[in-house]
Amino acid sequence: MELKERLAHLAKTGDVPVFAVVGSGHRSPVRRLRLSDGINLVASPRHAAVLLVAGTLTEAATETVSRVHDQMAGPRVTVGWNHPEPSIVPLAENVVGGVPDVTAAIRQQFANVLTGTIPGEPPLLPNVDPVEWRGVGPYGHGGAGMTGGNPYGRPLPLRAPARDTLELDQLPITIGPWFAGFPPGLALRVLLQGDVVQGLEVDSTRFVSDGPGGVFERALREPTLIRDLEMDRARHHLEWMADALLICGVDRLALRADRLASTIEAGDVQRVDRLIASVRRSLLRPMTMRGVGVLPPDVDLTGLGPVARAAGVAEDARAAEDGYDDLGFTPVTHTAGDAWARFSQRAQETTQAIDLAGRAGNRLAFGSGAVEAPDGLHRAEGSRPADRFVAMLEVVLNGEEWGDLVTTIQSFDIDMESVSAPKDVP
Amino acid sequence: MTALGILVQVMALLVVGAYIFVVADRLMVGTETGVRAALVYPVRRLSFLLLQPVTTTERPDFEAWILAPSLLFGLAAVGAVPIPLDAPSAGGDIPAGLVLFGAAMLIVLVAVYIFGWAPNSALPMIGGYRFAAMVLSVGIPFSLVVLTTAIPAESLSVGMIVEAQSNLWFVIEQPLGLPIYLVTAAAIAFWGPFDLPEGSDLAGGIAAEASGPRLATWRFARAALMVTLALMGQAVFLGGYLGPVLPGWLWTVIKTLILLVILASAGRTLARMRVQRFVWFGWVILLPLALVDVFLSGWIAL
Repeated sequence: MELKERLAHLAKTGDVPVFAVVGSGHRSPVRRLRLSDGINLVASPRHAAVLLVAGTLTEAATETVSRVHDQMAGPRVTVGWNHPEPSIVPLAENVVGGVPDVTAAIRQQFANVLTGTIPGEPPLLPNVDPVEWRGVGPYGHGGAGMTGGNPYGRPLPLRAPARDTLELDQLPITIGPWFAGFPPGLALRVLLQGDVVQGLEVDSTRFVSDGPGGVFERALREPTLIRDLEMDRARHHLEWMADALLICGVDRLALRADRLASTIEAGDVQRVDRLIASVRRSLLRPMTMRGVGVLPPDVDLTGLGPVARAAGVAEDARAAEDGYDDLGFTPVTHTAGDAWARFSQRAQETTQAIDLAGRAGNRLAFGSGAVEAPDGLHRAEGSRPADRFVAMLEVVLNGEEWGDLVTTIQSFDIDMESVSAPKDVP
Repeated sequence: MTALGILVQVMALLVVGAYIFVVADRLMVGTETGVRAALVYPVRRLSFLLLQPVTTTERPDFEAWILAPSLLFGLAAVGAVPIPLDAPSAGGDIPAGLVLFGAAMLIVLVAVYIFGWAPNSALPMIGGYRFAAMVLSVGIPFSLVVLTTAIPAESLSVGMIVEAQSNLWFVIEQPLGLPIYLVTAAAIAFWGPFDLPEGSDLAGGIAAEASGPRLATWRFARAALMVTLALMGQAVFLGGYLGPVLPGWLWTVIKTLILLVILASAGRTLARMRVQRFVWFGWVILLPLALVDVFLSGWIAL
């Protein structure tokens, strides 16, 4: 018992492994949490001790969040962050406030649950097999017929058509909606053959509620300072870059991008340039991104913002604004149209935005029903770019290797909060 | 050296080395506010993992899941046995020590694959697949550059290979050797830009379902494997315990640390390579370069 207390005392001063379920309006705050001292956002619930439920989620998320909760090894505790009551899962505490408040609460609850001040949370779901086990023997191999056949333990894997003269098994899996490599709320049903995607379907369930809408939504309705718009764009892109760098395993640079996003000021172009130079030295382009995620030529790129401009479409709603015209704005473009072109595009748009913000003074953007948001063109009426990205995933990702699939999805910058409600939900 | 002496030496090297490696890696990420926080990080982390229970998945392969971390550590330890600390005989002094090391390192494939296989879960399984593709691609160049150091030494004993470097270290005599060794060693330890089996794009891959003491053992075994690879790297390329003024064992430690720091920093500053590009890189770039290394060294030795 004493050893356990000593271990708890040591462990509670260390990093808190947190698995974050990110609801609407909290993508950016949860990213800022990465900078908090002693908080470690982990990609697998198995590695976490604290489940953070941030922002608003739909009823449909209850089951998936409960499943994530029960996967945590324990001692485990759930903390809400600006999560509306009644909460979808039981919470030990619901923090209303900013990053420092939630950091303190997470640390406190972690210490509580380690030292036994509060008990570890029991499972939320019954521990039963997802499919009834009908096999004979521990692996269902003891029945009659081929591979244990009848009665069988599990449906047999699907057989794929021959590829390179090999007939391989296909494995249907569901990934998401809280998979660390995807935007929060995106769930895919994937048919895998080895690590290659042979079929793909987007789960149309909404897990994340509609977003509150930031400065870009406001700019659709009222004149807005160009300075505010561009600083928000720069921060958004820097946080996106941090995500991309994390997925590519360059944690050190991801941390720098996160720090930059929280401290960047208008006109401070050099710091971004230095970060981009470091990213180039990390060999991100040749190792991970070159040639990945190129869209087929028949995809309509209109209004897809940086993704379109990275493929050579010099289209940007800002070019039609007088305020931007005064500042000498011309859209940046790239031609390759792959994941690296998108990274490079957003990097350059970040420096451009910081430069514009530094020179904008009190100039206003009037929107007139269309605003160039960081993820593409937003109109007062009509769908957001996220809808079109989600719709093209099935076509674009078929046949990709898993790692390339993750890189490609990340490179689109899909905001699941702005996806339209699916047809099949009343 | 007695068997017990070798056991104590290997365990001490691997435990201390693994600790230093984890601290160095922690400093590389840049999250810590100071060196002191980084120094206690492994202790805090281990304390937490010891408090966490081992979770299970639906119908895992229990035996394999328990076996894999111990197998990985066992292989790291076996690989470290033939490496001399301060004199040709101050280690396992096995006549074919290099072969033992090479064999142990290639069996790492089995440990990693079954660690991915055992939890009966998709992402760890993909991690296992990836590692199989990786080791098949770099196994030959890795073995070639290690074995090439035996040509000038005319011996497969690691002690004799160190002695053969008394005039000139093999890092200079075989300039292709150490770079290829470091790249392939990082891949075999699924570290750094080659951490494909444990990649963040797989939410931790082979380790995604592991928790508690099982995860702690796995992480420790991997750090120990890095130490073994650095120990052999310094022995066959950097002249091992040879060096002026300082005692031989200290030279071994210093050179091992240098290689560990290089590997740790590469791991945190370089982007993870895509698996297809890695396979291409192994067969099209590393294998021909390793062959050039063999031919050049053979030619010089003749």
